[in-house]
Amino acid sequence: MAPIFQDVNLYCLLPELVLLTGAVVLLFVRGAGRGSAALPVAATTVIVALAAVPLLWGERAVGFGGMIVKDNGALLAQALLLITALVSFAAAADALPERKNNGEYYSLLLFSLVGMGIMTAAGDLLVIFLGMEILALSLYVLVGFLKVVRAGMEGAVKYFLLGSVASAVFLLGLALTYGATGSTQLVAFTAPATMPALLPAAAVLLVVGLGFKIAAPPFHMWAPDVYEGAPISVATYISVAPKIAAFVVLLRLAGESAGPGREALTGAFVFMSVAGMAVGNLAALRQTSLVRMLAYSGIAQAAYILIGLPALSAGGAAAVSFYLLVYMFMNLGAFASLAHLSRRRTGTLRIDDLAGLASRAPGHAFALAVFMIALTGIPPTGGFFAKFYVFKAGIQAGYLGVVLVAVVATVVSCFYYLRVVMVMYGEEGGAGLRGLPAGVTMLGAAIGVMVVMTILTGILPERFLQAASAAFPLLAAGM
Amino acid sequence: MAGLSLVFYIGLVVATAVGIVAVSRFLGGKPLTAAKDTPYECGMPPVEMDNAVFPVRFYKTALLFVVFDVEIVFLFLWALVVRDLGWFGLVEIGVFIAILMAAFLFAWWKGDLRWE
Repeated sequence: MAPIFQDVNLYCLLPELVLLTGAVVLLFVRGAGRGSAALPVAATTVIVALAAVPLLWGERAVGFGGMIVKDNGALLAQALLLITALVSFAAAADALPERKNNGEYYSLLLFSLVGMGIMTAAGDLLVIFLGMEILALSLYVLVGFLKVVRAGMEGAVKYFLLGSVASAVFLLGLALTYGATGSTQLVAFTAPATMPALLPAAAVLLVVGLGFKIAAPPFHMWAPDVYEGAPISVATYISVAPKIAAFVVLLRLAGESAGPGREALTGAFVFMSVAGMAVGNLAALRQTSLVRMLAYSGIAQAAYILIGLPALSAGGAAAVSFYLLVYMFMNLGAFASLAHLSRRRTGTLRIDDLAGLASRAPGHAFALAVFMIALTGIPPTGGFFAKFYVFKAGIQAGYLGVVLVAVVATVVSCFYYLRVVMVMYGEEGGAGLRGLPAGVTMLGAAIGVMVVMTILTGILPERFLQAASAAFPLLAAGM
Repeated sequence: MAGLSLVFYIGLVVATAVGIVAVSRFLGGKPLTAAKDTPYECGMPPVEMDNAVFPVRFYKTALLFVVFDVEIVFLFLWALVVRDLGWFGLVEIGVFIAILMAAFLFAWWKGDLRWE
């Protein structure tokens, strides 16, 4: 009876089991609005799962015949994902309607966390696909969670159609990998292939399929429409969490590849990176809506991170995971600020609406300014060092051309990021913002933490970089 | 010989296809009604307005059927190796069914089984 695993190791899936239990319980939580138990139950589940991360740290728990490998990289990603979910909860308390039963919302969000946990810990392409689908199916519904918002339905349909195509592309890559190596395991990428001619095509298809999750070309078109149409808490979540999960999978793919597959993989990364920087930055210049600008900025940010992937030999893994950490803080912060400003509003928030925010809500304007400066990549924020390490790794690995494009793209990006700061501080009399909540709110506290972390990663970057490289010791050791 | 049988096979296929059309034309006559203009003479109209209302309850029932469909697929496999797996397998399949039932109960609880 060979196919039955002898090492059913539920311990290595401890955070996922916690999340799964919470998600099933949440399906049956009744009640709506402020009195609902849904948010406390969901937040408790995520915090318990977060507590399981240090428990597993450093153990490299392996289970299910090597299909699940909960190493430190997977755990680091999981911690970031769970923190992202907590911040999006803080935004959701305001963004969701009072009278709707929100148990399903939190349940779906926890299911997507289970999917990403499986994705980041998978040692097998089929298991990666399984995690991707659990993630995708939950997100399709979450994007269209508010059925009355027409833009949300439009975004959900676009997300679903593009997502299914991307899944099919990934599956085709998986099938070709199996044809080339006779195995779906990730480690099979390094083994001598029986049909090496298939490997380049397989590698490219896998990467392009995963590129949908990080909004990298050619599957980037969904991002602006989905971020604009989805509830702002879901947009906050989608703009960060799936990117972290997909980048961890891409790191593993890049780390395991060899021979002809590796060259094709590098080519795909370079293409997606350059195309993403061009599309994201140029399109962001023309946006008047704040959320669409942030969507295109997200495409550009993912493109900068992609530079680190072909440069694994020059410490690219540490640079990428450091960038992901900083990206989480600054992008979550930017979206959380957006959620804070646009609560209970109908219609989109335009950049011009922010005029005079500095005099009316100085603390808030300062926070948004910090995030914009960090996204541009100006010291003393973490955004500067994130870009610096990735560019350095790129130059050392010999991708000078790509880094030059990235530097030019960064200069272009100054215009649209700093315009937000200029409008907030330089202009007066924005009509759009009335009735901002006073006092300390949960979301306000979360934004405060993000500001501190964004600046802290810029002051002590070496500490965070060392922690990040410790998470991927095999990749950091030099290929 | 294999080539010859293939030729016979293709000949039979073509003869059947042409024959059916010829026979219906020969025997059937040509009554011209409105129904003749539609691609299919029974079932749903193939062209509708994009905002047409369609009964969603059939789809809900069909989707719920999938729960049991998936369950039986895994139960058959489990039954094949039930002796090798022993108690561990029994508990695992119990957990599996419990999770599936939770999904089913959720749909029931939401009123998706009510036939309005």
